[in-house]
Amino acid sequence: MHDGSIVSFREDEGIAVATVEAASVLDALNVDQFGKEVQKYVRGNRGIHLLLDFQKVEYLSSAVLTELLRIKKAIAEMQGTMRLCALTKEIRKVFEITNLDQIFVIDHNVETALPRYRRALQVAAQEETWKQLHEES
Amino acid sequence: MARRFQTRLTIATSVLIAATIGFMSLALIHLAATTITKQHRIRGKLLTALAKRNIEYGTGLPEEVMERVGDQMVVTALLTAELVAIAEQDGSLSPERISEALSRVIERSRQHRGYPLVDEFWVTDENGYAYIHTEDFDFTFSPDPEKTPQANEFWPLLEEGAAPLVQKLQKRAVDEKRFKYVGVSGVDKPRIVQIGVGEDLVNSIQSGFLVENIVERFVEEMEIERIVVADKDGMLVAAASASKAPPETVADAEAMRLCSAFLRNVPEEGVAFGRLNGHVAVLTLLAGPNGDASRALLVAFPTQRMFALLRSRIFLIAVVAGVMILTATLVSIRLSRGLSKPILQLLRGAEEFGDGDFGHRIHLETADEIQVLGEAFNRMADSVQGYMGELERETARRERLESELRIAAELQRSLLPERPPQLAGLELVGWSRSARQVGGDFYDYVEMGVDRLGVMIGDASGKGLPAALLINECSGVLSALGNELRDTLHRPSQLLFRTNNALCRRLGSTGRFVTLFLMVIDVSQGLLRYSVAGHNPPILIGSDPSRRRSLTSRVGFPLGIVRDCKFEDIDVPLVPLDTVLLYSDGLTEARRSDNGRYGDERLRTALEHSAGCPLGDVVAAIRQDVEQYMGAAEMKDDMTVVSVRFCP
Repeated sequence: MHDGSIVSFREDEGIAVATVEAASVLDALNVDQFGKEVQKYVRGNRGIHLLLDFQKVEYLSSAVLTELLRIKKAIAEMQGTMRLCALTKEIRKVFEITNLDQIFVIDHNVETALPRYRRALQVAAQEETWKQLHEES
Repeated sequence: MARRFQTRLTIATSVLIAATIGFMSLALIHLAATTITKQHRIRGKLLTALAKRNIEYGTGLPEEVMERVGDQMVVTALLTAELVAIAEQDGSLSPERISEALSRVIERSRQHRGYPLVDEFWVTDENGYAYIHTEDFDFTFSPDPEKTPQANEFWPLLEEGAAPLVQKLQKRAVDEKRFKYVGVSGVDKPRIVQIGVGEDLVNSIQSGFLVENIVERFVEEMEIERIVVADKDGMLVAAASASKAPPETVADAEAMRLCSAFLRNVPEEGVAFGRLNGHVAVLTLLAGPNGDASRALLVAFPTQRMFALLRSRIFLIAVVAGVMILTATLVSIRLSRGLSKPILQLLRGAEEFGDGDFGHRIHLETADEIQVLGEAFNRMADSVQGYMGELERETARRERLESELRIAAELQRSLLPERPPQLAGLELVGWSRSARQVGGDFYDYVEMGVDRLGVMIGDASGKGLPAALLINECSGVLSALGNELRDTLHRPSQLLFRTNNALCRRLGSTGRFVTLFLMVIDVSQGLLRYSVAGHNPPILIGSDPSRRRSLTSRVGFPLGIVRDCKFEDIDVPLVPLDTVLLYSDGLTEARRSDNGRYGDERLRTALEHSAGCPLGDVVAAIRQDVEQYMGAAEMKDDMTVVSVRFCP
């Protein structure tokens, strides 16, 4: 935040936690900044597993959907995965209306999101192993 | 403002100069007053010294004068001795005749002064018998003091060659009168020639030297208010005043108190100053009759002259100060004009510049900070002029852009239906308002024969021009595909599927999307079939509250996100007076200044409250409710409402 950025990143046992520090991500300018900051981070980390944490955000514009779709696209290109957590009730409603909650995995808070994400990654890795073994056999 | 500055400068310098001159004038007045008082004191001191000298001189002088008078009497006696000798030697004059002649001398001298200058002549024979005399009784000198006290001193004159004898003034044994006698010896035979001077002459001589008279003369001649002489016992010796009041009045309690105080504590220099009824009083020691300094001399000088002098000096100083202040004010006016002129120039320049004359520059050659300020102003003017040029260009560019935007807005408005199509059994009202000049909302009707109608509402992600372009794109695709699929539009999901793929191709991975709700109403069958691409679910209400539902779908994403995305068709049978409200999220996301959100609940309530009204009023009521909720808050997103009522 001290350098004017609105997202801070930290590594938590293989999961990159991106916390949105701005209380409000509403107008075109800072939604755009949010997208750029996350995408820049994603593009520097192949195979990233990103958890976007919106806990500190009180107001979130629906315009953030476009940015999330772009981030998702960028992560897909980097062979990574992403999850969201601590979205406001209103934005969750938007996700539901648009059915985008079927595209994004959304958790209630970062505390529950991290272990679940980790478990999902383990399961995916096991599946991959089984898949490879199956193909080999 | 500059005028005020000039005035302030003038006032400040004038006040400063006036204060300086005033202070100097006061100092001068003080100096003049001090000098005048000092001079007055010196004069007083001198006059007092003079008075003291006169009085002391007068006190000692009578004795001396009386000695000289005695000398003259010796001469007169010698003359008398000579004359008597001549008269007797001739023999023509009898002693009586000589006595008569001498009496005439006495009488004539009386005529000269009003009192006799010589009172008595006594001329004796060799036995001391006074046979020539001017008194009407006989007298014989005797060497015996018992017989002739006082006169016996003259007996030795009967001897030849005896020196003249001059007696002091003393009381006569015979009549207690004060007399002075002088005697000489005879020239033709042993005899005593004696002459006497009486009190009148002595008094007239002595009176000239009396303290009382001296002080009176002094008061008259020396412009002295009063003189008081008192002795150490507090007794009044003499007093005189210009008003010629009696001595007791002149030497009032205050004067006597001053004298006593002075005598009790004589200053080292022997002179003291005091105030006596507003006059300057000088006190000094005075010699008494015994020659010791036992008396006090108080001389009071009138202060009127001093004050008059002081007043004249003050007046003179005031006049000079006034002239100086006037001159200084004139000079300061000129000076402040000179100082404020360049400031006025600066002010005028700034005003010209402020009035829009950006080419105006200030030319000052004062060779000081004001010139530097003028140059700084010119540099600022250069910059501002440059900026103004840029601003004008920018404004022109903006105007062009706005004009283009206006055209874009007109074009976008042309995408919206001018009026709803007429279809028996359906009422239709649509309204859309953009937050900016162009918006990302749209709605449209698709006419599909006499008993079917398609209604769609869409919302592009983002706002303003990008959203407008996107919606334009989507509308174009929908229109093209809609025409193509007109006959198969009874399955709206098909149109959404193909539109989505078309948009996915065009939008690529921009993350931008359009939410869309599409429904087809078959009036003859009383059926509504809809398909949703992530759009806000429209609300259906009917005359019966149990009819209320949201037209949702859990299948299908907004258009332009997922290629080959599936959509579903959902059928809803309609009953008469069913009303469907389609809206964009700009309505439910509308916010107040305190960031409160309008929300689905309030929309639903507004709709239910106006349910029984004509459809146009329902939409108007919802608009009013949203606008009232928002108050003065800025509209952030586009709002669109389309309402359909089934009334077969």
